[in-house]
Amino acid sequence: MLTALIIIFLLAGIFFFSVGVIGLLRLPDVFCRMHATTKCDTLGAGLMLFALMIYHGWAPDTIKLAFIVIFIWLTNPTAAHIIAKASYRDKVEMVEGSFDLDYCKEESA
Amino acid sequence: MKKFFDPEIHSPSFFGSWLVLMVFWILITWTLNYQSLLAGFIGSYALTRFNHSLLITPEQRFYITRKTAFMFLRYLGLMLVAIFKANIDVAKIVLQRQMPISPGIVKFKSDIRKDLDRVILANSITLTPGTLTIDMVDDVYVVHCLTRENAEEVCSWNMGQELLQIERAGSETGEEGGKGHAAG
Repeated sequence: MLTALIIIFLLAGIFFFSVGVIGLLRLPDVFCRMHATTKCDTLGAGLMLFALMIYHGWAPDTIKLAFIVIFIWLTNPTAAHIIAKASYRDKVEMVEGSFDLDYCKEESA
Repeated sequence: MKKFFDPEIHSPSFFGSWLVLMVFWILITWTLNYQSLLAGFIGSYALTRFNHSLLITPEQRFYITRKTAFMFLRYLGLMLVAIFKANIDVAKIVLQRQMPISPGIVKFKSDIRKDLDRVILANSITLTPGTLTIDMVDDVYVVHCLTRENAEEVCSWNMGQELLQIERAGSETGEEGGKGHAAG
């Protein structure tokens, strides 16, 4: 029963990782690719580590794995933000037809 | 040459983060051997000492009262649900044959005042798939979105409202209020 649960979580993790890779290959520009890779990693890695946590049960390893999950979820957005900001500053070209909404102007006007 | 025991460096938040690092060390090593304890003691002191300029001062802290702690837990739960939902959305978009994306950038303002809360919101936006925080200048967020619906959604996102409520509740009760996070 527990093994089945672990297998389900591992498979779900693999699924989200593969979605990330497919997205990386298919999406058109830097920013869109960032979406696919960084996001699916959070859930993919999270689910896989969660499966490992179930596998270990109540052991010190579980606490370490929990810390790994927490730190992945804290650092992943930061890294994504830095890469995105760098390419935004460098004016990396976006795919055609990208919109540019600006809600600040409407509010102040 | 600075004095070794400079009271400016050795503030309460210094000792707080020293303690947090020490506890973390014990959790990671999972022994109570005196040698590893000594190594952790010295190591965490050095770490706090060298990085003391990065420590969060009491004014920047997220006030933790019973109410805000409860709300924050609720926030984390909602966040988890949002991550799951949005991940499935992105998976759907990527796996469809003609990817229905309409990417673009949206800029919007938020009413959140504290830096820490702003960072939490920015990280939450990035963690939720479909939206990615590119930049944050004062209260203006620059967010890249995968679809147009995402863009319209993120400006009045319910997580932002939640965070705003937490902040309000915190500043009502908490000017001298409970214990904050010991450190960042």
